[in-house]
Amino acid sequence: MSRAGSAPPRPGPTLPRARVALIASFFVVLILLLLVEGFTTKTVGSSGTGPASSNDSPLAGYGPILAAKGHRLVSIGGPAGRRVALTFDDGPDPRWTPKIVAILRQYHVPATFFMVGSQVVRNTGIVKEIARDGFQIGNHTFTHADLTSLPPWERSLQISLNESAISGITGKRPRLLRPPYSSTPDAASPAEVAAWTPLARSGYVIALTTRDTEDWSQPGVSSIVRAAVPAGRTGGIVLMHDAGGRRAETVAALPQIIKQTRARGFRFVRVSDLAGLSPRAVEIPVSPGKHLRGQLFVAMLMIAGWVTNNLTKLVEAVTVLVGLRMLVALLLAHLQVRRTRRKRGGVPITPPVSILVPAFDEAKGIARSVRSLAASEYPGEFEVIVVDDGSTDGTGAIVAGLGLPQVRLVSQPNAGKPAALNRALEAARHDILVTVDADTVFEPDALLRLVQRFRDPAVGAVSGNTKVGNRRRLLGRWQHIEYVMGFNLDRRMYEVLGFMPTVPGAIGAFRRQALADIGGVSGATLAEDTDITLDIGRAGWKVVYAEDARAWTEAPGTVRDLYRQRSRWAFGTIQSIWKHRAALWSRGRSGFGRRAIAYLGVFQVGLPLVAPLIDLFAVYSILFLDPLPILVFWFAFNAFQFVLAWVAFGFDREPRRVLWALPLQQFVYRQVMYLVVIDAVISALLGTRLGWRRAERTGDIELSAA
Amino acid sequence: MPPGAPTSRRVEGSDRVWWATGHETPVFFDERGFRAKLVRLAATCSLLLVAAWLALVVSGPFGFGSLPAAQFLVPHAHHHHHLDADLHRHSKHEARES
Repeated sequence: MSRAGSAPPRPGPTLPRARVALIASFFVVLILLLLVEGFTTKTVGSSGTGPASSNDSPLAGYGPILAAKGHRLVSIGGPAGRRVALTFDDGPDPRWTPKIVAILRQYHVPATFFMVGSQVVRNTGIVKEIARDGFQIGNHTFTHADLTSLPPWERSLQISLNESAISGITGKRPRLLRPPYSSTPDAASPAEVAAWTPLARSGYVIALTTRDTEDWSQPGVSSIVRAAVPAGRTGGIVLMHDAGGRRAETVAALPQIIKQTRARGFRFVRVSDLAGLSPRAVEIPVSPGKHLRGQLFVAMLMIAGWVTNNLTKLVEAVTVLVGLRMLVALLLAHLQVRRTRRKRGGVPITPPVSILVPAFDEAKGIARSVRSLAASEYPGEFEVIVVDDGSTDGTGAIVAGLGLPQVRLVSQPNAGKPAALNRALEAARHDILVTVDADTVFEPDALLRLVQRFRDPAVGAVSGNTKVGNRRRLLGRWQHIEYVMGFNLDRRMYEVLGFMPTVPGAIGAFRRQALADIGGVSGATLAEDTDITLDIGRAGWKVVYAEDARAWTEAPGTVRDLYRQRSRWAFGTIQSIWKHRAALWSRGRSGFGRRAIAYLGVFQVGLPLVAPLIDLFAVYSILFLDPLPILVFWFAFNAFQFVLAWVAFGFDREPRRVLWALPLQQFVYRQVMYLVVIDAVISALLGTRLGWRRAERTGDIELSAA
Repeated sequence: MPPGAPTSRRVEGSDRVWWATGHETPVFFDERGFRAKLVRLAATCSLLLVAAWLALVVSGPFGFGSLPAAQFLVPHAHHHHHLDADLHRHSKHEARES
């Protein structure tokens, strides 16, 4: 139906290119941030050093500090004498580095920290503190990568990323480089030398070690002390670790190392002192431009980390929420079934009923729909009022031509569905009002079963059970599965919890007084069925479900039509939530509004909005984390959903053979459902006036499908 | 009126019962279009920022400069010059110490 109004409405929900660009750019940014986070944190190598010596080391007999001279590496700095440089690799670590720094500060010992970039960006405060205290900072690659296993470009990337991060925080570019898994020059393999030489030729000073404590393997405090303290008269570079695992032994050993080393007449220096380089030569102040670039880089990594952390929390929360909802729906649906069975029986009530059918351009299906209504096996009096809302395809003439005595035709200029319903309300003569979409076919006993729920005088509205009539194609099957699950699990749950948020336009019944209490059907939302249901519930009336009152509807047959229909529903639902938002903080007579609005907000708007993020996170987890848990979760989720569908089909006595299509829903259908909600939220933000454009009808409804 | 009270038919011509017309102003509808302009402006700015960020990431200034097509950050000649000078100074220092 089209909607009358002061401004021309957008001719129906579609997805304009600008919105596609906006949504796509959001996801591109998110994907990039996840890739950055994945690369910087989930590809980090473990702590460790190479073998103590190698028979074929090209650096045998060299000093621990190397630079390039021409195309080869040479030692620089000369003999260490009675000087010792303490070095700590793999940090900073929020737990161990501050303890090590505190000990060094206490004993006034200079030291050099070879930092890993991925740790640097996560612990910027510690890096600043280390730099402020005058400790030297060196480069230990970005992800503790084994440089010998990388192509040249990736080696450069490992170094330059870390350089950007450190210079962004300290304003200085480290020139000292310690390759991960390196040890003493005697242990260097030809492959390592080949990998290090180009880096040295680029200006880096390679700092290996003289005394490898192997503290990463946690050999015991005394072993670390023994390995660190020089036995003879020559000092050198001592290698320890302040991160990459539990470093309690290193922390415990450090004071003893300092005391014993000093007791043997050695003094502590920085690596630059052993290299014979000035401190400014190994930590080169960067230009303001490069400093800013580094800061932006660190900021990007911090944002990536923040996004990933929060995404993890979101995934956990959503998993719990969705799991709980599925479980609660299953339990409460069973409860409702048991309650309903107990209540059945007794003499049926047959009050007079007015059936209201608003119709606009429904020539293909109106005759069948009206005939099914007129043929209702209802012992009481009933009338069918068809409001032809300015149809241009002869809908009114078809109805008039049916010549059915219970059917009255009211014609009006096109004014929209809510106005047509109000017109039908005015024309209705009875106190029980049944609303039916013009493409819907009633089962013969649907009217009688729908009306029985009004036996309870507190009931103001009743939802019927809508069935998909065109389910031969995959899209129809998916909608059929969705409808069966929605009507046989969700609605039963709503009834038990007392907050049915929507009486569907296809088949619903109202007590006249309930509609009078809310003043009729408002045109303020595109989901007038949700709007009036919320109004009626908030007015204190009960809204219940008659699962045995079944009507058959034609579901959209193309993705385009489905998209339009669901966009309209999603936008109308968001409008209804906003219109009734006061119910969240005002409990009302029964708390109906609060529960319904909260549920709609969380499960029909919130979850579809965040669901694509969760899908993205699943891909991220498969790429960068252990893929097994996410795959197990995915299969468990689908298995549980299959169980729910199996139960729902059982409740509705539907053949279960179509359930093979359920797992496929996860790949196209689900994403379309997310997109419509995102699109609807954008429409709401823009203040767009969406029009009602009905889907193409084919009249393809098969009652025999059941 | 509380639920369950006796219902009554609407009195013809009365405006008190059915006050909804179906022509109410839609929720969220912004007649002046101000919000749409604001959102579009924000969206355009976001898109430009994203485009700029992507360009910067690809071209290298945020640290990805060592990708195959880009330049290594450290200029060779410049550092060799300093390193050689440092080494020279150090050799003299070592000679003095020994």
